[in-house]
Amino acid sequence: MMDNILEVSGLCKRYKGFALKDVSFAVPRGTIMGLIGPNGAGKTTIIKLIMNLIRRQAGRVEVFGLDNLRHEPEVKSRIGFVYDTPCFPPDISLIRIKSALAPFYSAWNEPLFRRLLEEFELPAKKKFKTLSHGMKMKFALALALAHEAELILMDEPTAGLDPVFRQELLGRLSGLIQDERKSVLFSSHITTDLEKIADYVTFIHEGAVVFSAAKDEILETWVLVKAGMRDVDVSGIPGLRGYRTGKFGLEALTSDAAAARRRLGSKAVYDKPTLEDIMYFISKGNGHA
Amino acid sequence: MLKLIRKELIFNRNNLLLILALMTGFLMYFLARAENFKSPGRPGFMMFCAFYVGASLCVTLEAREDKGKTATLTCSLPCSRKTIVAARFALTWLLMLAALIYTTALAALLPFSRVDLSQALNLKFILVSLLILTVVFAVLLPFTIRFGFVGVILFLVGAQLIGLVALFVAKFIKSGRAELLSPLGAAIRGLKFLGGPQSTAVHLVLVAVAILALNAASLFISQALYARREF
Repeated sequence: MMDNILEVSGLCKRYKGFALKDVSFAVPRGTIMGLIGPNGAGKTTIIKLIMNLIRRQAGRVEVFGLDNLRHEPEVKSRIGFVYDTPCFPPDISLIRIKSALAPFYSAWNEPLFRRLLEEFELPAKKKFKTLSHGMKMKFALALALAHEAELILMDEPTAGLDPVFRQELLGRLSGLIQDERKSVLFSSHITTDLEKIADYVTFIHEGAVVFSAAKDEILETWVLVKAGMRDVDVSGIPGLRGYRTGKFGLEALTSDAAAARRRLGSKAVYDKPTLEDIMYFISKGNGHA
Repeated sequence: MLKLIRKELIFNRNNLLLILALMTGFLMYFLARAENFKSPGRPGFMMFCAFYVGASLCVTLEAREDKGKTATLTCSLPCSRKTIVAARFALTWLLMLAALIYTTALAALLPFSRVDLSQALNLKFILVSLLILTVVFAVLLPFTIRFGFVGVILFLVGAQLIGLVALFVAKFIKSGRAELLSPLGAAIRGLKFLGGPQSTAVHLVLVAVAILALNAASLFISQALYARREF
């Protein structure tokens, strides 16, 4: 049986004008999970709750089978956290930042850190503020990897990165889970990145989980139905999740591909949706294009 | 906790060196010109300044952390929030101790020093200085820890407003002036008494207990407030 490295259940957090509602999902060990959703859906809130940077109002977070609040130091020593905007002191050199942070981690691997600095072409003696956004992300990633973290949490790590480093980062994350001990939870609204590397996808919309399942399963059971306006009645599409109409006809997303094919037959054509299609139709797809 | 203190010292090394340079300049001037100061408690004043620099440094570091948004980094490290706050308090006392040692060393070693070290290292002066600073920082630290940089501003603005209101009330309601000023007067008289020759060992023990109690209360409140802080 596959064990979970992270289990989130019934997580609630209320802000003025936004609420995270009963969020539950699990990240199996040795996998990459993508947390997707439009801006403001609650992805960062979930990651902050896992890291106890904000206080939950209800629910539970278990990391490595331990409650994240009761065993906070132990849990955090085994997590590598990469923020969307790395928040290291701006006037300090990378090597000094490392020397301040390394002692917190008993599993700190200095040769690995040195190797990562070289691989990422990071100038150890330069001040953090002089780095580009991409370099800052690389440094945050080097720190997260050098303490041999078992769970890497990344909040929008690819936003603002050039395509070359994005590919490099995705490759490295894929390589990371090869030992089947480590896992990655990766929030992003750039769904193409997740399509390349994620094993599981959790989709958050307006503070609630729409689905959390294996990526391949989602892409197989969900289908994009395309038909003429007069050929298909939208309300008759089984498992309908969203649709749009335009001068080219009807496009609808359903989460029950088999039932839709049985019901509509040759009146429609069926396309495999991308994660972006899914995100679009669930967020916006309920009317005219 | 030691790792957190070490981290603060590394992250704020330049800031600390700048303050050290400024403090050295001030102390050299003070030590050379001490005889020209009219106040009878001048060695005590020097010690007070040293402690003040040490204690205020910690507030500065806290505010800098908030301004640079590096508090998120601290809170994502493998330690509890209680430990983070306890480390801040420990660092405050460590910096005050360092300032005391540095001031004493300068007073003893500089050839032009005119400060009598036996007077400067008077236990009464030291305890009274620490009591005054503890009262201020016992209030200021929880504010800073809870609200960060904004907390320092709030505290300073709040203190200014209270002062203004007190002056306003004292000026326009003349009958109330004595009542308003009497608690402050009593406090000053009390501190003078404690620093004077009449105070006994029992008084000094009570001062030490008050310092410890105020710090413990401030630490407890700060930990409770920091646990609620969101980043």
